[in-house]
Amino acid sequence: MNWKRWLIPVSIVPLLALFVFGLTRSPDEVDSALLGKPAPAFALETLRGDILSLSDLTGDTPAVINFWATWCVPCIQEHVVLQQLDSVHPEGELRLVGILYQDRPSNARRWIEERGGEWPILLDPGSETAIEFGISGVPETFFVTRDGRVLHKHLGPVTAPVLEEWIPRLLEEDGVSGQGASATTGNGGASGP
Amino acid sequence: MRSFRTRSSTLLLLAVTGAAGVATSSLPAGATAPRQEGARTPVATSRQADTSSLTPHVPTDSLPAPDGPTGAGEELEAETRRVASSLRCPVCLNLSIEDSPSRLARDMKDMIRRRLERGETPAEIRQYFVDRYGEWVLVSPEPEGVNLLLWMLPAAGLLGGIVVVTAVVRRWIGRNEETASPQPE
Repeated sequence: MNWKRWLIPVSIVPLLALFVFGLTRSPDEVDSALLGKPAPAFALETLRGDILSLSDLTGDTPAVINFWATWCVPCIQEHVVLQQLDSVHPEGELRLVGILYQDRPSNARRWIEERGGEWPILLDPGSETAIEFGISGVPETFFVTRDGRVLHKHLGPVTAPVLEEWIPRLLEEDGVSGQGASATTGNGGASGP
Repeated sequence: MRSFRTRSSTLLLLAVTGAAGVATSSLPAGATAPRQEGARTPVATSRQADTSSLTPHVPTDSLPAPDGPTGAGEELEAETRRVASSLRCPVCLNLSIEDSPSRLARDMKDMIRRRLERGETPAEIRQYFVDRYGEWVLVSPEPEGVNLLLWMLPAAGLLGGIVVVTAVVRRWIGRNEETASPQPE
């Protein structure tokens, strides 16, 4: 019986391949369910006391929404990159906002005073907006098109190469097609303070 | 004098611990005593530290009414726990929102409670989280589509195992019978 000789390898090899494939994937890497879909609407208070909503950000310009916290170590390195992004693109071309995740406004004010940064920082009590965006840690950054659709989600600190890849695509987006939405993962990131 | 000092310090210690005990026991069930500002808190997991010392957070809607939980309140809590047990915590690996000590899980549980209070059904709330975190957030994926494999493979494996064991045992018995039967001369 020749087939009996092959029975064990044929049943073991697929399982082994599945196991090896599983080892190559990070358990933290979960694609965002929001890719290609409308970003969740929000209206949050800024550190300055104004109210800013998603519709204020998008419409005429695309937006980069960055979830961060002062206790998040990778956010320190990311802050420099975001400052460069903010200085290169004027407000009329691209809107950058930060949403403070599980942190005190006073900590964020101190951080901004020490490190600089002109973009609005929104407060998210009870993590409601973070949950709406399906956040599992910080930093996480969403690239939202003019029509309010999530084009891309980046897990971990945003780097210059990530911006070089996604900002031109975000600016070119006419806000109609749902193609090309994706998620990438960087090194680092914090799931909780 | 020395014995008086020892006794008085013991009494003082008893008074302090007693007061602390009364203070803690006077809290309603399920509530935690507010931490002192700056007090160190134990790290919940290697990835998720409790930040209560950074940002005091005792959601008011998680505390029962001062008169104790009413029947409806108990029912709401039980339903909240049921839904929270069916959703996976996005921060911890293989822990449900109900079991996770993380701050995000606590916020998610508060959200579940609020949505139940608003009249949403458990299925609607689960769908809300699936729409944001993907089907991954369900502790037990729905038995449909590719997920059916997850439910069928163990049963198929068990059946296959039974078939293989039966075949091996029958062959083994057959061989034993062959060797045991006397050879005709």
